[in-house]
Amino acid sequence: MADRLITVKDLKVSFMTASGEIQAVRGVDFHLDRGETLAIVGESGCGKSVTVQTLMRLLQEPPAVIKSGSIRYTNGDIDMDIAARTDKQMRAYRGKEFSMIFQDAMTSLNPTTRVGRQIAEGILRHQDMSAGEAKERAVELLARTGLPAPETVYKRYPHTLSGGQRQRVMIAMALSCNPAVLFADEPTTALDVTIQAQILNLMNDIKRQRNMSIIFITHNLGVVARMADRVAVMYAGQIVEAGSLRDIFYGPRHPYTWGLLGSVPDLRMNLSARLASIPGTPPDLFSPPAGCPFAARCAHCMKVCMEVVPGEYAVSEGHMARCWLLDAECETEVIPPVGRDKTVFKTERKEEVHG
Amino acid sequence: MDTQKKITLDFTPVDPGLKDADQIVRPSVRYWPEVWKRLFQNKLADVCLGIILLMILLAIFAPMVSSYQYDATDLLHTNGKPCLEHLFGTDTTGRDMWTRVWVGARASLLIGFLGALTPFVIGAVIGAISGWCGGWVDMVIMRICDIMLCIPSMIYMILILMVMGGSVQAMVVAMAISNWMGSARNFRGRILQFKNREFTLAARLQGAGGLRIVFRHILPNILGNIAVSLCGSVPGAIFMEAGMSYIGLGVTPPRTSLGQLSTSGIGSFLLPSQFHLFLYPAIVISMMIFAFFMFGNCLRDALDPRLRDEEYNARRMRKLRRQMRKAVQ
Amino acid sequence: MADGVLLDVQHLKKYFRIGRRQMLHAVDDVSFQIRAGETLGLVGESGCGKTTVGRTLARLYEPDGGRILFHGQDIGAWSRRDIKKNNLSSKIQMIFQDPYASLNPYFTIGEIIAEGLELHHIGENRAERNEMVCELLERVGLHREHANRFPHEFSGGQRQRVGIARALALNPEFIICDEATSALDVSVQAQVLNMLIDLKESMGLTYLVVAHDLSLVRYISDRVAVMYLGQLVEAGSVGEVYGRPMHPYTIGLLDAVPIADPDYEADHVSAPIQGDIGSPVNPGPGCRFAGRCPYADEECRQKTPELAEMGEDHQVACFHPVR
Repeated sequence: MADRLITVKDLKVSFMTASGEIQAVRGVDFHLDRGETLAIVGESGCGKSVTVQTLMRLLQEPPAVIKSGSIRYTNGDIDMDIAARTDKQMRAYRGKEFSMIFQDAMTSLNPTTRVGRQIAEGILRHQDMSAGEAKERAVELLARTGLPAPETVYKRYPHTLSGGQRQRVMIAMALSCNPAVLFADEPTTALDVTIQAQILNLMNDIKRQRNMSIIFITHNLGVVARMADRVAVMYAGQIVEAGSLRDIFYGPRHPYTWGLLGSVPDLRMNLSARLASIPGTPPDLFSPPAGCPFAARCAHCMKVCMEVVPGEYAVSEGHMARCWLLDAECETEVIPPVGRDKTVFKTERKEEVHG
Repeated sequence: MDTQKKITLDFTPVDPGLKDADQIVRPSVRYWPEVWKRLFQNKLADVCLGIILLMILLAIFAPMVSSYQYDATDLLHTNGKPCLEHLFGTDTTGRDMWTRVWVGARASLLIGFLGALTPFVIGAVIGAISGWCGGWVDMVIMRICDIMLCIPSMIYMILILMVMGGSVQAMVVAMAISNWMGSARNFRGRILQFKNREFTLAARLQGAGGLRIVFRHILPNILGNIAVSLCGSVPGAIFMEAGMSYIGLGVTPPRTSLGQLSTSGIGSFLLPSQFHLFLYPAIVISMMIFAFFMFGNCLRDALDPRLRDEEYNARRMRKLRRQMRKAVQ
Repeated sequence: MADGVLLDVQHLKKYFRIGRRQMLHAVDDVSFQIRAGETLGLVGESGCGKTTVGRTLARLYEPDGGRILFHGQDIGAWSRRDIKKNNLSSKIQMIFQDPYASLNPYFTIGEIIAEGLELHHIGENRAERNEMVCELLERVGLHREHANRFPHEFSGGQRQRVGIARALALNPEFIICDEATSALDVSVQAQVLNMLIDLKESMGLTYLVVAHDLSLVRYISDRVAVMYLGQLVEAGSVGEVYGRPMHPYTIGLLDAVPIADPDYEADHVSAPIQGDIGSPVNPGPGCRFAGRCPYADEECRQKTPELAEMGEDHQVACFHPVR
């Protein structure tokens, strides 16, 4: 049995605003094992960032409120429910157990402090070290992330570094206390492709060396294919499909996943081919629809989709999709337009549906 | 489980033409009506606006309906205490203070409004030209601005008031000349901020000229900011007039202003029999400044909805905590 | 000049002064042609000057050198008055990158789209213009009821469609799409791209697509030009440039793009171009890519390579093209 680090059950997070409640995360279940990369894919506003920020309890509460659910974290002696912890209690674990890198490295670095000192401070907070040792360790970390002349970078201010260099500094900082889990929230979205390739290679190297777990948030399916072991596809605050990398890319079962895979231009696709686009826009989580959130944009929408939220259907071991098309009672046969594995088997419903 | 009835699942396909994925579910919200709503929901804003309106009305009508002239002396009733006849008492030459305070408030309010508005408009025009044209025009205007800012404004004020004599017009002119630079800089900065926004570029591509872009596109975007800074400079102008009166350069007697009234009241400040000569003008001027200042603050809050959400959450948390305490007890 | 050339850009230069002595060479001697009815993709990383090229062609910036021949007329030399007199805005339009910044928040959608119509006195009266606005909205897949709503009520993709409707309002021949889909989500991006392709066919438009996403440019363009620090390094038909890239920069760029295929990614060993993009401020002599190029030698550091014909519709600016 794999060494399970994080188990999330039925997580619901809402934002309370004066105009009403925005249900950002609406019942999410997933888990993370040691040494694996889980990619959470989805469009902006689907709740993927909120989910990850909740795991670290970085959301400002209020306006954010954890409505229900548990986040169990187990690593060695530690066994806790993150959802029940306070911000203060979490402080001891941030940096040491979990660390995070963001899309915009500039806003996450303190502009008035030399980058080296920022790293060293993090080390001193969690580890019993002298200032000299901490500095040595910081330089070593900077060198590890492939920055040329780490001693000079140590003394520089964030604004004098380029975007790629700043992201490397962020990674060095995130790794400073040997965290077990690294959360990466669109870390390469703001970077150019050549720099992105450098950073992705670096992250993969580090993960392999330290047997670290990564939760990687992105909307770029190419990046997912390069980084992930498992994938969770999020839509309108729910995970609509989850499985191994190959399950999702070669045997997707949810129409939204089909749409996503079909709508990305690919460097190797036929020059005359046309992209499949998903019509319309994602639902407003201010008043989410009663049934399947994707129903209004789905080409295979049925009456039941508009009325009842579909449950989880196990496609194979570790591969789940939430779609009524997979129900044994459903007579419509739909062949997936993308992927290699085109045969769809219907399965029995797990739970009874009540109105 | 009996209360929950099992619903039938209908697996018939839905005609794609009947769905509307581009539907907007939130109600349409316009910006300014929302701002007004927020502003008037704020009790402090209502109170301040009430005070301001009351003062304007009193300044206009109180002297009209009063049976005394503001400059009519009555040597038989000097230094009269406040009574029903003379609500605010009478001064050292027997003039009715009630009438004088509201005539003075007229002058102060006029100076307040015009003294804030005129330099603002002049500055806005100059700043807009400077920001929109850029290049050497901007250079020249901004350097003139800098030079004028280096000279203390008190010097212009004193010079102009000495030449033109103490009157409302002279005060307004003096303020216009000494205060336009700040507003010009503010306006220029705002124009520069929006000049290269994509929507401004788009308007240029549609064929819109400079004037149209500044007035139709940029102005509405900075109107809120303008309103707040205007509200802030009204009390400044009233205060300035009071200061000028104190050094003897304000509105000259027998014409009067609140500043001048309080100044002449200061002389008799320590005499209990004449304390009211200072007290009433001082209360009116303080309330006036306070009301304008707080109203400006409320307006700023109403313009920024993020503050509203924070406030809402703070209220909600307080309520939750109260409930928790009750539950524990 | 070849037949059917709509836009002929010759030795275009655009510099920005930053500070007293420093000159940012945003666009430095760029030449290309766009034939009527085709789509040219202009790709490059951030800071390479591709957006500046687009904005200079739309005459939002004054060019500092070179000629912009549109239908044979040098629009680069026109004054603001000429631009107005010749109605340039009804010939060249632009779709902007940021759907949140490109729509004035105080205008209704209808007012935004109708602005150009109003300024060019198209349509007899308000009612007629409203009807035209509704038609434009429907053309981009929105409802006529949306005309009275404000931009903040729309999602990014819907706003970008409003931006397209605005660009189409004056019936232009040439549209510059400046990163028009980079702020959008993938599913919405495909929707907007397909819409652009359909509109091009139905209205006979010509596009310049400015983007950083190589796969997107490959999808939408007929011809492509690759920019690096203010200069073109490679240009040609999409099949040529993507099929047989010759400039080391283009090769590195294509290698770096992650592909949504796990099996391909598992086998693919990415060897990204090392180092950071240089600075376009006061560039020295020589090839601008020389600092990061694995093949650079003394010649590359001394002389600037010119675009040279390397095959059918394929130009490369390199002393050591990879064949």
